[in-house]
Amino acid sequence: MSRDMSGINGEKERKSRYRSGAAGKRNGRRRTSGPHLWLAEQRKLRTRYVWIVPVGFLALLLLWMLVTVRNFNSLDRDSGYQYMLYSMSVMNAIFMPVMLSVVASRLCDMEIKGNTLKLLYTLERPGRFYDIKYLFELKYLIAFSGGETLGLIVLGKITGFTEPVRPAMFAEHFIAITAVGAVILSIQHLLSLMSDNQILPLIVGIAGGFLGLFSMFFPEAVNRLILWGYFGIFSVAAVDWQRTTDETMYLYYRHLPAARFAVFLIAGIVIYLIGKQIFLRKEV
Amino acid sequence: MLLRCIKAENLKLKHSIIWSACIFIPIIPAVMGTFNYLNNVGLLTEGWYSLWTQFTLFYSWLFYAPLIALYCSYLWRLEHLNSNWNVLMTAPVPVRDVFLGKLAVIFRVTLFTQVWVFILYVICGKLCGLPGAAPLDTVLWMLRGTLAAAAIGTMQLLLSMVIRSFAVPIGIALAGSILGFLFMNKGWELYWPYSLMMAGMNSNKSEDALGGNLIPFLVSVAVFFAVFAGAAVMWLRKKDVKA
Repeated sequence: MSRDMSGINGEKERKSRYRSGAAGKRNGRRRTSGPHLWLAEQRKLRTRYVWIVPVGFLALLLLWMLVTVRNFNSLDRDSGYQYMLYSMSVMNAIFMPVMLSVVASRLCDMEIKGNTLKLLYTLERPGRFYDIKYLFELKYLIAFSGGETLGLIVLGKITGFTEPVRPAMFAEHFIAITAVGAVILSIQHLLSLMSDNQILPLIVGIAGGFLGLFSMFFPEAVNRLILWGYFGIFSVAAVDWQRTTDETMYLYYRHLPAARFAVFLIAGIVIYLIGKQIFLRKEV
Repeated sequence: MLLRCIKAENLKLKHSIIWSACIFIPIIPAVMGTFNYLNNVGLLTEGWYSLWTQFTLFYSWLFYAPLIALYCSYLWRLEHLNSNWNVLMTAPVPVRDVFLGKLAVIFRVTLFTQVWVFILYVICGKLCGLPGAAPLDTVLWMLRGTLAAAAIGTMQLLLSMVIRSFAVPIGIALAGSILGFLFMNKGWELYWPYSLMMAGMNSNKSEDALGGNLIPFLVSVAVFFAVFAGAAVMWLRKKDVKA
């Protein structure tokens, strides 16, 4: 009797294991769970030192900022953080697209080079693989954005800025660059997984940097059409062009435009889902 | 042997997407630089020279080196895949010629890019209604910028050969370009390969950044070229391949 019961329980347990969200069985194949997939991605990157890319870029950007602000006079230090946040939005527009294309390419190219997709699809759903890989890339982006935000605060303290730190503005800066970066990353992620040769994603990364930079000098109506230009649109510090003269630059803080930011996020999710659908149709 | 290597490398680039990068990427600074010039025509009063600065400032500072890095990564990727290193190293040609063959092709593609940039510059200048022809100075600056590619191209070719990743050498080129601006501001442009393009192309000034003194610039290019090419050939001779 007890053996029968245990048999029934065992069957139930097996069924629930296969039916659960983390592990499932479809088309007669057993699937690997989310944490296992995450762990597998982590193992693949064990000796690849991908973190050097965001850390290297972050170090260079902060070095650049340090060189710029170290000779600030007392007047400049009164609005030092405003200046740094504005400058960083320009720098992010130039460098983040390339950095993200490098990170995405580094993570995705190993599957292309090793022709591993066929093997991976016998173990996991293509959609799940696409998501986990993207989340892994996102990890580096969040680390970069967080590092940049904290780095700017520390830099201001070291160089003696008299302007008080406004946590809300720095939090919005972090959210804005992470969100824009995440949408750009979703495009790079798709291109890197779809291209047998990584030249195309890298071309898009370089071209995106160009477009992002130049779009800042255009009217906002034009700027809004360029994804890479959103680093500038969502910048929490902006130049007051009415008051700015050849000698003095006037800056001001502005909050993230909530409605427009929400539309941007929705558009970003749509872009990601479209990209995922395109990837799922890829013949491996 | 070198000629044969160059021919072989040329064949590898046939119908390659690399040519699309050559054509497409310079169009962005051309269009954007021209619009920026037109929007600030009241401040930018030096005609062709002002347009030149708008055209080449960001191109030579931030995008020229990564573009060359892209070409180099593409060329070496062919060898990094499918155990092609074994084929390459057992071919009956000196390794020196293998490297120089690739370098010659990189230089040709870069030259093509530069010529295309200059054509775009002339077209945009005419569309902006600038009088006369483009100044001869700008032709010289463009040639100097192309020469600087000899230093950067050799270095990037070495990096792409040693680093098996496609993307990392491009990231290094961008990082090097950021530092290049700092070197340029300090007046140390001749000591850092990534600054040579900005100095050569005279991209942030209307007057000549090198003050008409071409010799130190040429020496710098030659030294970087010799050092990196020498290092690459040594590496190929001494190190075992990872196919």
